[in-house]
Amino acid sequence: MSDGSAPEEVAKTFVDAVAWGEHHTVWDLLSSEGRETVLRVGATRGMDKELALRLRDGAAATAEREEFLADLVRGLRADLAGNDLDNLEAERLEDGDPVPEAGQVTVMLVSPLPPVLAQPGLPVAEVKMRDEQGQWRVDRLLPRTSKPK
Amino acid sequence: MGAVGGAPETLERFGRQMRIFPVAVSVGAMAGAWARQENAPAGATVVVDHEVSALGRIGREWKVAPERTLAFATVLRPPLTPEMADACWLVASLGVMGGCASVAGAVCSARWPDEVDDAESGDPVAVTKVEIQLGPGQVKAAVASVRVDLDQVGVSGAGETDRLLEAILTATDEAAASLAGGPEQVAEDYERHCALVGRRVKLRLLPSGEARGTVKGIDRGGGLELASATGMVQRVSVDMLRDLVVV
Repeated sequence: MSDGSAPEEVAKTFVDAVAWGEHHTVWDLLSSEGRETVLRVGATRGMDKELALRLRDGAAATAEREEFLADLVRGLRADLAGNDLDNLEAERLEDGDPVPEAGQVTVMLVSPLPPVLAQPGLPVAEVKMRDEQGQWRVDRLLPRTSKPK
Repeated sequence: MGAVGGAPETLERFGRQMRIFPVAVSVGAMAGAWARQENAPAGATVVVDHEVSALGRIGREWKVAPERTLAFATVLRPPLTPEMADACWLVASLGVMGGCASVAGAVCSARWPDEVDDAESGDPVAVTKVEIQLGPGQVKAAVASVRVDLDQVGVSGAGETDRLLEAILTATDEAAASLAGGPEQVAEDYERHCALVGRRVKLRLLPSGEARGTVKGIDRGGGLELASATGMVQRVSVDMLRDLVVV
C-alpha cells in the first residue's frame, strides 16, 4: 500500500495493480471521487442502480463485488493496452488544464524512449490524484495513447 | 510410402490406420483432410518425413531439421462439447510426455498450451498443435499435430524412432480414452505435469491486450487459470494466447 507515498509512486502502484489483476488494491487506491466516477460510468453502461449503491456503501455480496472489480480491472487494462507497463516513469505535472486545486495533483505516466533518440518519453496516461486524509488516491486515469486495433 | 497420383496408401501399424508420406505440406493438413473428407477413424495417424510448412500454433515455425524430427498427426474423436474442445491440447501433450518417458526415460514437463519441455533444462522437446473440427453441438474431430526433436529426447535410428512414435500414440490413446468420463481427469493429469503452475506469468493476448498473474491451474476446458495476489481469477483459452513469458 501507499501510506505516505508520493503521488508518483501511488500512480505507478495503481497501474501495476491493474496490470497484475490486483483488483482489491485497485479499489483501495481509488479516491471517493474516483469510486463515484467508476460507479456512475458503470450505471450509464447498464449496471443495476441498486448494485451500484450496494457497491458504494460496501454492502454488496462478495460475488457481486468480485465480479464488478474484475470488470473494472479489465476495463482499465483495455485503456492501457499496448503500453509497456513494466518500465513506466511518473512525472508530476506542475500545471495542468485545468490547474489542479490544492490537495490535487496530476501525474503523467510516461514510457521512456531509448536514450539515443534524445526525445522525451511517450505519454501513456494522465492520473488525476487527490490527497485523502494524508494519502494520495486516484480520481481518474485518462489514457493518452491510441489503442491498438 | 505414399502412392503417387492416386489415393494415399493406408497401412495398418501399431493397431491403427496410418499413412506415411516422404514429403507433404504438413502432417496436420494431411490428417485434417483425411478426417474431413474420408472420415478417418479415431487414432488414424499421418507421418511425414519432410514437411514443407511445419507450422505450429499461430504459425510458429518448427526449426529443427526434418531428419531430426518426428512429425505426425493423429485424429481424435473426443466426446466433448465445443466449450471443452481445448482439452485436446492437453491430450496431445500428455501423449508426448508419456511416450518420451516410456521409451527414452525422458522426464518432460508441459508448458501450456503447446510445448513439452525437458523438465530439468527447460529446453523444448516437442510442440503440438490441435485443430478442431466441430459438428452440431459437439467436437466432430480433432487433429493433433506433434513435432518431436529427436536429439532432445535422445532417440536416433529408425527403430528407436518407430518405438517412440508407437509409445506416444499409445499414451495419446490412453489420455483420449479418459475423456469419455469428462475432461477432468485429463486436466488433472496435465496440471500435475505443467511447469507453469505456481509461476508468475505475463501473457500477450489475441487480438490485443495482456493478462498477468500466478498460474493457478488448468481448467477442465483446457484453459489456463491465472490468479492475482488479491484473488482475481482469469481464464485464458488457447485461442486467446499470443505468447507467454515467466517473470
